[in-house]
Amino acid sequence: MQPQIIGISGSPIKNSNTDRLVKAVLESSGLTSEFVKLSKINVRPCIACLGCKKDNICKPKDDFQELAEKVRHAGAVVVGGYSPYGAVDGFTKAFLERLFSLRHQNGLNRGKLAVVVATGIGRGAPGLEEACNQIAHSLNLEGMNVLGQLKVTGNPECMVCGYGQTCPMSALPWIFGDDTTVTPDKFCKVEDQTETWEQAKVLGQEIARKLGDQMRM
Amino acid sequence: MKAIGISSSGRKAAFSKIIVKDILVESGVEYEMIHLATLNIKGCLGCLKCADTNKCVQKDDFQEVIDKISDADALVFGGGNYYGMLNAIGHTFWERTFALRHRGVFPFAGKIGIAVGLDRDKGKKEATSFIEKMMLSNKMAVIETFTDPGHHQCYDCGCGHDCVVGNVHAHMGLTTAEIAEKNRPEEYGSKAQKEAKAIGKMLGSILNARK
Repeated sequence: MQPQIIGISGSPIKNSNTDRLVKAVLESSGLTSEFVKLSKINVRPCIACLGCKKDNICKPKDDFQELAEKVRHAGAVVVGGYSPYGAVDGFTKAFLERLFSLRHQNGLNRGKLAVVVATGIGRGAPGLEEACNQIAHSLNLEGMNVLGQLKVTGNPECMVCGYGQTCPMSALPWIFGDDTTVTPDKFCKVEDQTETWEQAKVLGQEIARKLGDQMRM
Repeated sequence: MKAIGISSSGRKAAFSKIIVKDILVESGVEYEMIHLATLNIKGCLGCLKCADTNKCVQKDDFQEVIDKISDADALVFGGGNYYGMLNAIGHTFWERTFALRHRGVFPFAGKIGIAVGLDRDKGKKEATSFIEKMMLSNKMAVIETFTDPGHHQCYDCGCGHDCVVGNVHAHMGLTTAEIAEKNRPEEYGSKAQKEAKAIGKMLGSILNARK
């Protein structure tokens, strides 16, 4: 049976903040769900071949076809990305582009419920807002009904690369000022961001309620 | 003096290829064109194995492109706007240049950059600005940017006049194939071509003066 709700994460980090928040929405919906980590499968960018124009099936062969079938059958999607260089990451972006194949003539994603998740280093750094809007914009263009946008404060890689305190490009002074020693309390966890975490649960329940109403109609 | 031209478009007859090539030909310097769509370059995995070496450990075609740019004096990069952003083929490439910045190494620093974006919204120019931003982020010297609306896919797919979710409908409502074709928006017209060539000429002057 195809899942009723699909969670997609473009974050390549193992069990990342993005992953956990996407999963939180899936779990609170109580629906049959599937979580897909884009960095573990192969979904390449759209090559604009227009091979999909007649049958809404994307032709370049990779893991997208299987994923597209699931998205097509699901009542809701949760799409999570992060924001390197002030824009949504490449894995998420490639996936969003390929949804174009489901659009021609039939708008197969119209009305589908969606929730956006975006993680950035936050604390005044640009990118989080932009990435969130970019994911929502793509989903809106496909005619989806974006119920909410969840924004997460995550951790810059400079905290774990080993050169964070000496590298001239380090993001650490920018975020922490003079105190750039990396201590466990400086790592941000989405579970501690109570408002966002609660909002994820509420959105999951809202999806379940709305899909239930649709089925009863 | 050598220049590298890169197009991130997936289409064979892409305007980003045509415009980048026009600029390079007009410059008169030796150049090589790279079409990212024919290469395999995946997204950054955030593994940080590049922190010591500034080299990405993913086994794909990324390093080959980096080596070529490192050996050149200028980069002309062109890409299209999909969903209000530079397309993912181009985006993924730039994301991977994260490997180059650790400890302030920046192998592209000081190289001349020209950003070519195919943006329909000349106010926002999302693709052009992102390419420019990434060149600057790699400490390149961006001498010029160029924006053109580029290709309108819905005018070519064959169903555009009759499809309510496409751009032809957004421009003129439901219509016939003939009327749609007649009112196709201009794509890289003669005025734009002149502007692109002027940029190429300037690139040539700058590079030749450095010989």
